[in-house]
Order: sequence, then C-alpha cells, then structure tokens
Amino acid sequence: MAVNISYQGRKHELQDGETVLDGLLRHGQDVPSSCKAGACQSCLMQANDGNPGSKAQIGLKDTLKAQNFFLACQCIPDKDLSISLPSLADTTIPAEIIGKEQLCHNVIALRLKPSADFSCRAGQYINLLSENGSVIRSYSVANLSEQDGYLELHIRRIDNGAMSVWACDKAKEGDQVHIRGPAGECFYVAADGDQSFPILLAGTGTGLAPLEGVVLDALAQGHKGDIRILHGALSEHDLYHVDMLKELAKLHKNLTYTPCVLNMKHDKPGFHTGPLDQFVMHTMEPLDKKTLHTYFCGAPEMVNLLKKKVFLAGVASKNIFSDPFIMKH
Amino acid sequence: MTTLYERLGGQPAVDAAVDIFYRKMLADDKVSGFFDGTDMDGQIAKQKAFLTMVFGGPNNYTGKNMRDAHKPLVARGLDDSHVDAVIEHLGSTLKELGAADADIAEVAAIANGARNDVLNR
Repeated sequence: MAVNISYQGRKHELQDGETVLDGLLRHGQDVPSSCKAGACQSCLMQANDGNPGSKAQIGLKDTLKAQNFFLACQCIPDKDLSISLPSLADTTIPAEIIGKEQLCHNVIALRLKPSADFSCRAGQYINLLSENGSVIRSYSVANLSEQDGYLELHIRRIDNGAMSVWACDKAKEGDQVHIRGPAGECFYVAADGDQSFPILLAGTGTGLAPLEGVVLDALAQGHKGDIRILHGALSEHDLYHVDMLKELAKLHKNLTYTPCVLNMKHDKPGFHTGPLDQFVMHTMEPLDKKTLHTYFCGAPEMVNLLKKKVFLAGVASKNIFSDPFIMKH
Repeated sequence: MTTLYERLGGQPAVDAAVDIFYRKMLADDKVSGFFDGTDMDGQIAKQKAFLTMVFGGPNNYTGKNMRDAHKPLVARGLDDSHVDAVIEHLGSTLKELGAADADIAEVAAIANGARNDVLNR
C-alpha cells in the first residue's frame, strides 16, 4: 500500500522507505533543508492530519511536539500524512542586524536584535532565514544574548554559499532577517548545583562560536572548576578572537585558552602547533574523566573523532556535548 | 517477588551499563567495525534501548525491528561470532556492576533469544 503525502493541495506518493523530505524533493517541491541528518531543523514541517511518529520529532521542544511539528528528513511514515510548512508567523521572529564585524579573512560576526522576546542559551544555535524563506542555515550563538540584548553569530564565507556570501558581502546594519529556534544541546549545565567539575572545549573554525558562548555562560554562572578551551585552525590567519580570549583567560584564574594551529611557520609562545585531537587528549590527561564535561563543535570529522576518543578514554557519554557543523547537501 | 529488571536496578542500571558496554564494543576489533561512521549519540540511544530490552525492561522492539535494523550488517558479514561477542560484553559489563550470576545468565538468555532475528535467519 503506497503512502501519500498531502502537501499544498496535491498528493505525493512516497517510495518504500523514502523520507518525507526526499519524496517531496523528488516530486519537485521546493522544501527547505540543509543537513538531512535530523540536526539543524531546517526541514521542520507540521502534520495537520496523521501522526509523523516520534522518531521524526527528536530534538524538538515539547511545545512543538504537541503541535505535531516534525523533521521531514527523519520522517518515514507508514500511513498517509497531510502536512504543511510552518508559516513564518508561527515559528519565526523578525530580527534586525545591529552590528557586523570582520573577525578574520573569512569570518564575520553578525549581531541580531530580535523583535520579540527570544530566549536562548549561549552555545545553542538558531536558524537564519533568507528574505523569502527559501534558504535556511544554522548558526550558533556566541554570546550571552539575554544579557547583551542581541544574538552574536560567527559566519564563515563559503564559496557559492547561499547564505554566507550574502551575509559576508551584502548584509548591513539595519537589514531585517528572520530567525527561528533555538535548538541544540551545546550549552552550560551544572546539574545538582555542583560547579566544580572540569570542562574541556575544543572546536575548529567557527566552531569557536558556541564554545565561546558556553565559556561565557559558565563564567557568568560562577563555575569553579577548570575550564580549558582549545581553538583549532589550519593556519594562524584562520584564527580569530585570539586577543579577546587571552584577555578573558587573564581575568579568570580557572580559564585556560590555547589556539592550536596545524601548520605554523615558526613556533610561537602561546600557540600550540599540531593536530587538534592529539592536543585535546594531552590537555585532558590531568583532568578527572569521571566528572569531565566536554564540548566539541565545528568540522564533523573532527567532532566525531574527538567524541569517540574522549569517550573511550573514560568520559561519560552524558557529559559529551557536541554540535557538528554539517554543510548543506 | 522482583522482576529481573528491578533486581538489576531498572533504568539507572541501564544508564550505568551503557557506557561500560559500548566502550567494550568499540574496543573490540571483532565488532567495532560495525560502528564505524555511526553517530555516537544515536548509537548510545540504541544501546540503551537494547540494554533495556535484555534487562527485561519495557521495550518496543519487535522481531521485525531487529531483522530490519541488522539486515545491512548481515550483508556486511554479521554472524554468530558477533552475537557471541555482544553476549560476552553484556556479561562482563553486568559483572563489573555487581549483578548476580543467575541474573547475568537470564540476560544472556534474552539476548540469545533475539539471535535469529538479528542474523535474519
């Protein structure tokens, strides 16, 4: 028995085992998507009739689940479904660009002021929508947004990138955008009020954004344990916020920051030269694995490698937080 | 009269066991290859569901689920030796957590009961 998806007044038949997203794309429907891995929530849709199944709702807020929102890339229905895109008004909020800054040769900071209350933990990510809503990309929040009154995103310019080229080349203060979210599990938590555990954070490229957020949040909440943040880059000119993080580490005795460069022309004090994963394992050595909390963000291969390595070395899976930055397919 | 699941410690026991069990699997060359390229968070969630089932706890697994889930692995060579390895790691994990021998044997029997579905026989 074939399964049909009713969308925009037409029936679309799904192939055996095909996800709602793949089926709609195959039928030529222009449905937003990005990672196709159930992580970014760009393909968020709503079931008006029929049950999308809980597997397609993993990661969604309870309020969205209760309204039958689901992720099209994770939904393989066994019965007919009638669905629609979330209307912009329901789930998205307008925001104004109030600041833009070049952080290094290919990364900018964009500061957004949401037009309505938007609560977000530092380190979570939001979805940024293009003007007509057809391009959606996820960016992590690097600051304490409620305190600062704006969300700070770090955006790397990708060649032919549907969002990043506009953001880096064209976007300016005063421009209006729409945002959705937040989502993600990369934020500071201190269960049972115990704030003495060590924290190790490592990321590549703009993976620094959520890690900065987590560090700022931990410090603001009075975290007492050791905090070690490592930022990995191919070469020195790919780093950013070096001075800012050095200053922050000077102000807080329990914070250590090390920029980690793969290819360095000459050894330089205050920089580590070599592969990030080796340096993470080295940094982790003196820390108590049983209580250690780790945060890894950025390039998926590095994130997955680090997760696996620290897990095998004894870090509890529930204390490994990550956000792999999966590129649009 | 307690159930196996209650004697083992219920969901907290599953939470304590999953990391120990999954580490043993990743460290065992006989089976670690089947986890290459898989998302660790997703795998941990699956292992929790599996442990809940073999600990005699509530679960939604059907024989069909087990067959479908393991079909691609069978195509890659999953066989009795791998199921044996899993049962062995289950046992050593429970022993580390101080479970009674009789309970460990019961868990092994449940796991063994899924053998033919897992191997798509």
